[in-house]
Amino acid sequence: MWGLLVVSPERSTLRLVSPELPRTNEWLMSEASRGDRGAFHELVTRHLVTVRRFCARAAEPQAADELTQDTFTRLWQSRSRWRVGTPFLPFLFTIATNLCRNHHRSLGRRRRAMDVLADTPGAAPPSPAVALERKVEVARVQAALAQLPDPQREAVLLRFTADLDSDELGEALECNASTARSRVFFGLKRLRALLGVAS
Amino acid sequence: MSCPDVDTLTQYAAGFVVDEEAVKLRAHALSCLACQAELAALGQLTRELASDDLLPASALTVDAVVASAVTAREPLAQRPLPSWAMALAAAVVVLAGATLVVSQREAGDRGTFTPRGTAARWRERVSARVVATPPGLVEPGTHVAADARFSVLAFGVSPSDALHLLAFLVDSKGEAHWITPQWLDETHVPGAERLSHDGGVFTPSMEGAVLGSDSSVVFDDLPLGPAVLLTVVREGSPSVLAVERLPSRTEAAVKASFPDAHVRAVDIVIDAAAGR
Repeated sequence: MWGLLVVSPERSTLRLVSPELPRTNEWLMSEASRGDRGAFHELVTRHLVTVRRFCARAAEPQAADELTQDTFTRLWQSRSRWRVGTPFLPFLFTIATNLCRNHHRSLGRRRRAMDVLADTPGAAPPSPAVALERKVEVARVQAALAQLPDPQREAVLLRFTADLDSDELGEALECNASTARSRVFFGLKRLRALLGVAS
Repeated sequence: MSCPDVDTLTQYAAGFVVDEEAVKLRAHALSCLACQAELAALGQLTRELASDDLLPASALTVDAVVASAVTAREPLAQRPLPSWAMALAAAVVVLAGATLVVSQREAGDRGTFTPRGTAARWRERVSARVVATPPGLVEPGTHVAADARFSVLAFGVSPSDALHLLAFLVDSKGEAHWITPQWLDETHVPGAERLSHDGGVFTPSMEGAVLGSDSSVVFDDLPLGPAVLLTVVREGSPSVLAVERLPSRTEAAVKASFPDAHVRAVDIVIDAAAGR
């Protein structure tokens, strides 16, 4: 039976708990931390695409698969450090951020930007001119991202690829929410200036 | 409203301008071409950042990621100790009379050591006993008032254990009432209570410690009559849901569900509430 009455003698509080329990990320991670592979599978299902998108931007597109796999491997290996009450997304993206940061630093930024551009040709899609233009635009953004200081780049990407809010950004970046917002703001402003998008 | 500065528009594009200020800004932008253009440019930039366009095709599948993650060898957390430290550590182990036997696990495992002997015989020394207040430590045949407070004592847990506990009362209708874990709520189904901690600090002894000592459980709808108190102690975590899903919550069924666990069942009788 799920419904039970819990009494805390010190606080004299009564609480009737509900049998309807949503499977939140935090609940799944709590189960995974006890070795439940089904719960871990559900977490991977939910976040695989987002983590891959983040890794592709924060490091380089060609390394996205490898870094995504590493992120989930580290998540599983870190399960014993998970504590109830910890928000899940910052926990996950702290791992992804650290992996991408290491990867990013291991490559020359100029080379990375050029790699993206060099990857532009290849099998022609149905509209080569449009696709080429699109690819160049993506490459410009990637190159501009590479020019941001690490804290700003990570904050911008966590905000826009992973959709973390201020508090979650702060958790993931190990700073307070105000600092995290500031990093997003200055990063976005710098990107805007670098890309020179017409007003 | 005059045109907001570029910084404010940037904050808005980042999603950090909310409520009334955001409403005012949107209202202004409806009639201001310059702000519309700036917001459109910022919007294009943020969409670009979130775009999956032109990412290389992925070879990843969820099943493959999970399989690889759970079978990956874990990195060593520490550097190898110098030889003199290894020798000293070995001497300490021998002097302590430990009977740990180490063995390399099979390929694909994490390369950790398997404790055997004394360390593995936790079933012989660890027990969990339910306390009802009143009358106290519950023995077979104990009569307990329906409004008694229930909690659990764990005995004999050592720092090297990684044991978990479930404790629940099965009433005369076969329903399970949870004693440990105590807190079930709308957002979280806890697993078993952990009796030891593998992350570093460990309470020197759980002997006599009441789990969740700041609270105890009182059931509001306990049927009168015979009942069974069940405790399940296990390496790894026995699942609350596994118990809930059992067709019958008898001692035999629980033991069958957790064959590697120490399961203890105590028959008691629930009497009328004492009105405390």
